Amino acid sequence: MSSLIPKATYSAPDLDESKIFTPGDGIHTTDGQTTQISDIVINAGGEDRDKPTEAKDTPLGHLRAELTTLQDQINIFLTERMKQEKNKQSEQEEADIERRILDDGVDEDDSD
Amino acid sequence: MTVDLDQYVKPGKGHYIALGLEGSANKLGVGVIKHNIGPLSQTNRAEVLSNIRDTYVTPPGEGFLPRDTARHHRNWVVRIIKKALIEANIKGTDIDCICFTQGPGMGAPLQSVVIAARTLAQLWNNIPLVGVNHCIGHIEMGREITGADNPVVLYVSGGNTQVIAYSKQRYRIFGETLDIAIGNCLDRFARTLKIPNEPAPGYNIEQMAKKGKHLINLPYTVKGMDMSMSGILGYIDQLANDMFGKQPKKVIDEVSGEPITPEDLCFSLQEILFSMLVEITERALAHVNSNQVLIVGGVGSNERLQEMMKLMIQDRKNGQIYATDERFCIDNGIMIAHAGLLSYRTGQTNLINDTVCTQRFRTDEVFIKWRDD
Amino acid sequence: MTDRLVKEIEGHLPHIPLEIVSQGAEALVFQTSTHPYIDDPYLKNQKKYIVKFRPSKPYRHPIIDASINKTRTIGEAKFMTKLNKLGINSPSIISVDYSKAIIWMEFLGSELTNGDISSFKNWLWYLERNESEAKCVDEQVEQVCKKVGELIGKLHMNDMIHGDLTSSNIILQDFEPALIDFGLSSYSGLAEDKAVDLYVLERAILSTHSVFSDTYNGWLLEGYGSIHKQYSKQGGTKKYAETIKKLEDVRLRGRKRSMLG
Repeated sequence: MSSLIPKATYSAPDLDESKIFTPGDGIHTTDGQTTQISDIVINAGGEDRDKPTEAKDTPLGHLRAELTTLQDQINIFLTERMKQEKNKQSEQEEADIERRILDDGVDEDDSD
Repeated sequence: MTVDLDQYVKPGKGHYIALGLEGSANKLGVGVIKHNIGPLSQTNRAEVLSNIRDTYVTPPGEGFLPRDTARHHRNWVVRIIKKALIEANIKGTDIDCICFTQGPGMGAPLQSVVIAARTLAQLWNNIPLVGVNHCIGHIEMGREITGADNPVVLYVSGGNTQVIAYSKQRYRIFGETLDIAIGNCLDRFARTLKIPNEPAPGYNIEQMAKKGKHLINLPYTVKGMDMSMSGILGYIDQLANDMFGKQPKKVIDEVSGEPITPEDLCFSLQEILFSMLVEITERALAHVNSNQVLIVGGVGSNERLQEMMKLMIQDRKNGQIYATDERFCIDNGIMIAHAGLLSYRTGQTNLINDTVCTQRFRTDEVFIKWRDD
Repeated sequence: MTDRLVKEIEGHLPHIPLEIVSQGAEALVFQTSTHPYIDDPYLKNQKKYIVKFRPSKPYRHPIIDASINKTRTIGEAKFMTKLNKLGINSPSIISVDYSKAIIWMEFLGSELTNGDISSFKNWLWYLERNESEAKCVDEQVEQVCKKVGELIGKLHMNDMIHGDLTSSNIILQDFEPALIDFGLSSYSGLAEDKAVDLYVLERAILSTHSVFSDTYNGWLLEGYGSIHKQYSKQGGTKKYAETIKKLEDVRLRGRKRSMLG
């Protein structure tokens, strides 16, 4: 059932071309790497009773598994982009403080 | 004049069926309700066809994070819906409308449930969607189950503390918390004492409070018809940390000379908070000249709160109190189905691009088209 | 009002004829023709007096109950005495019995055409239910609203906080408003406390008189501002600006308050 292969497209003003996600070959399961329960719960001695059920060997079941893979790819990609964005911001802020101290004579302690 | 509720009935049908999906906090609820045509009344009651719930429970000392709660809802929603349909003995195509909680609540859990609603609506030949305000769901279900016709409503849950009365097609907020909600206050104290979250932290506090006998002195912070709880929580948290922390310090009850126990703390906290709740409810009753009280929301199932409310109402002329049991008090899908169906019967539905959920959604924002008294 | 409560007050005040006026949340208000110690007091009403009684509340733990009734009765009596001294419209105090939680005071107000007591709330409700829309926002209503605002302004200029401002707690005597019910009153010079006081009233107006609430609230604040201007030598203008700024914060807090299911 090749007609049920999911695909996702991401585009943004700062990207030259759209990023396309496909599940690709390989084994797909519903046990996604980015959709696990958080560590806090496990560390506090909780058990995970909310795991997704395993995918059935049907076209819809395969779609579920492939979607989980796709979801992982998207989550990783977006998290990475957010990190970059954050780094850029803090670099800019640092540069800004530097500029203010050097150019405007602002005392470092005054900056909020 | 009464509102015509039957302009939108399917041709040839004498009833409506609605599916309701709730997931604004840590409970995932799915319910199926049936209304026969004609206005609802003592002889024409709404019929609960099924009402299934699954709660996301965290280990002691931990609250529920939005991410894990959303994951719980996502991974259970299909199974719970299937169960609800089987129990109601209906097919997807029998449904007139799919109702979902549009807010208020936690963003991620709300979103994971509305996706299920949208998907089903499209899967089953474009069944109309109806967005429901969670608080309105509690109020309307409470009225339907208890038969209270125009009560002052005390809505107490994990995220809400409001005193509400109906006037001119809106449920208006007369009093509310100025900071944290009552359920949140109790849950957080349960975490301080490391009380289990199973079946519910508030329930466990209630059981411990029954064994408490010494009252410790806590601030009492009623402000008109509003109240404030964060100061009380801060105070008792500090006390608990002093008493049971790394260097335990014994605190003695002044009257009996006996040591204060965790049970005493639970007892004292309940006594002070519930006194405040009952007082602001009575203030609203006196202000709007009413004598009916309806308690809704998860904390409303607390027996001590119900008992105190009963004692208050007994001293008022012709006073009446209404409360529901945990099937309807605690967040559930049936109330969303019920309130959503009332909305549907007056022609209010949401187009799919108008089904975005909102974390903040005040009770008085909703136009109550199905009432005109 | 139930038999239990009637017995309780009769036990405290035998031989005093009492007629119930209202059952509030924390107190029972009676009227009586008997003055406790003089025949012709210097008061607006010489035939009727108010007896306010805080009964014990069976729902409260006895310790909490006793402490609340005592502090509120004492607090109210002291607050009223101060108001009387300052000449801020409120009933004059006649006598207080702290141990029984009873306050005797001057009778203010009159009966509206429908028999209800002339509280600000009852009057506005009466207009809304029996009169035209124009009448609900006419010059007289505007005057009364502004006077109420002025009254609260005077209160706040003296660093006094009512604590429970609603349209029920304002009584009209010949269309002159007077404040009543000071069980939750306190003293504070903080703009925050004054802002909360105003916010509570604003919300009460919104929920109780929703049709014209914006107009009423506007007038109330106008009156509130005008009295601060009159007191500009005592820092009124600055105080007003601070309180209004805080009021905006408090409003925002109210709307932003997270409300999780």
